[in-house]
Amino acid sequence: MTAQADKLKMAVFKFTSCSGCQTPFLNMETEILDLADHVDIACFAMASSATRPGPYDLTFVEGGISCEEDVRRINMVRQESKILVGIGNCAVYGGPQALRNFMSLEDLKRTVYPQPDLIHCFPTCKGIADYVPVDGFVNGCPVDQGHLQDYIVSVLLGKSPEVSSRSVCLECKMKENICLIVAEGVACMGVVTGAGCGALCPSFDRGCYGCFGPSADPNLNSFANLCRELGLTEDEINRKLRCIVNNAKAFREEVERHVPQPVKG
Amino acid sequence: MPRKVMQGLAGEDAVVERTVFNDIVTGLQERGYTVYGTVNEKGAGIFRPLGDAGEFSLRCTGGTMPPKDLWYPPFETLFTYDRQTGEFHTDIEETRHAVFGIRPCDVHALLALDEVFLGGEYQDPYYRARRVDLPLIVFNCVEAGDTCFCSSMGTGPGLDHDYDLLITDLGRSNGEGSERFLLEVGSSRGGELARGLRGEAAVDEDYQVKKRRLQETAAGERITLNTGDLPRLMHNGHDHPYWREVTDKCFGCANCTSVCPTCYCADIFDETDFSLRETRRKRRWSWCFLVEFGAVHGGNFREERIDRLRQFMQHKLNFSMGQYGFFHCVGCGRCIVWCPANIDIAQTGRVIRGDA
Repeated sequence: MTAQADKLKMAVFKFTSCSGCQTPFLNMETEILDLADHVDIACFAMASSATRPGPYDLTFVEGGISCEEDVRRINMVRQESKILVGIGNCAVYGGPQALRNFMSLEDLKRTVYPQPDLIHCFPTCKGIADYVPVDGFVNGCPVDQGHLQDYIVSVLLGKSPEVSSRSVCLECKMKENICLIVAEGVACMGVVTGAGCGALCPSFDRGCYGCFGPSADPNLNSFANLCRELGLTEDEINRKLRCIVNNAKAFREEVERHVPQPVKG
Repeated sequence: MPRKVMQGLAGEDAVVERTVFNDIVTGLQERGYTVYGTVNEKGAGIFRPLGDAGEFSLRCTGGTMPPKDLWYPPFETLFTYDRQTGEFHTDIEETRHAVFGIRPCDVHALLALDEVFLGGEYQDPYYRARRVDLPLIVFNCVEAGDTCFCSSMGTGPGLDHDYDLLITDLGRSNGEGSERFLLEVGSSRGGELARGLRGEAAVDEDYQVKKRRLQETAAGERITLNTGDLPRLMHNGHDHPYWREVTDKCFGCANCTSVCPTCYCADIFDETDFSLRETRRKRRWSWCFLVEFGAVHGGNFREERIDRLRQFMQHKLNFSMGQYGFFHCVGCGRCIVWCPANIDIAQTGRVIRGDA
């Protein structure tokens, strides 16, 4: 057992998000005892209300930045953290809620809330790197527990965490799934999406939704052409690219290439 | 026709019925082998461990994935390292796999990997442990798949070496009666499996039928590639505008390389669990198509997709010849089938060499 002071002091913070990327920490059921030998979880409000102040050696941040309060807090977290890691679609790209980046905020407020005046937020939700320097990212919507574990172990050992530029296709091939695009004519996003989920949806005969964001050098133009060949309308293609990781540069720019952008409110 | 009980000698042959498949599979299993064969799943052929020969699908040409993982698995542990004692532990276990229904193109791919892993000064002990006892029951192809071009690459549709048992579907006599298969013994290991099998003595006419069926298969291949002087022509075609044309279609997904039976690249990584007690050094398949593959400190040798696509095809149709003396494309056509962008290596070869 390492003395408390010698342990890696870790924190997990949440911003604008669904909390789903913090859940994998709680799911480390058998591993958590081993983790406690080396890591002092000083601040993780979802797990315990007994939080302790920084500075922290390693901080994981879930969630995007969508209001003044978020900006103030992310700057504070950055100051208190030696290593700051964004986890999940929201922290990396802004999350599903970044859909509002492409619409009029005032229209949205009026549509959703009976008293829109009470809502004070930015017209956009963006990833944390738009506001503070970030040391690393773990992709996913949600992130994979194994990737988080690898990140923590890598920091403990002082080595770089595994970052792969593999596409979802390669996970399908390793599982010997039959390609949905080739065999079924499904407009599966796996060809332009980063691996990490273990090809979860294609393994159940559903086309990939792109949860882990764009792969390392995706050809979105060719993907849009594939969708057209498979009979999708422009609107359907845009909805596909804006489904989950809508604010990732590669997906966003492909939509912008072929649709007129609405005026933001 | 004279009935015949096989003696189990290399070079022996017989004409047998389909029931013999099961005798062969059972014989392998009784000798402790796990027998893999193509099984029809969702309309595609996948190599699976066979319970009995009834599960084997004769119509699956090569299988969706090559059976490469049997001798070169996608993930493997090279050694473990005890972080407390500082001790290394390597556990190399010889496998006993057999492949029932491997095709000539995949045998050539296996021979290419033999050259890579066992041919040089430094042999790969992990590969050798899986290769040392690997019976191959080869089926000659009497029907070309839509994307096959083995006859162009000189790797099929028939095989005349490196098999333990070789089976050729002769069809039915005059289109009636039971199915007839020519069974040829290629090794003493194959002979052991064949000993006691019953059939008819093969006659000249059976060999004529075999020859004709293989010729028809070769002629039926819709994809062709003239390999004469191909490495030099590919070399000269490095800046051909067609590379840009295919790159514009290419998703960069690396499916092509992942289904290739001769791709042998790997990367090495360490895995340590939360206890920090033990580290496992692992090897996993990697491919020149990945952005990370050419990344080194300070830059990337193949930054652009066009560089990576060209590297893949140039290695198969050009560089491999200089490295090993034969092409590392066996014409199995899997990269063509499973490319979601319909990119075709043979078509690319034809265009670059000026034939299309």
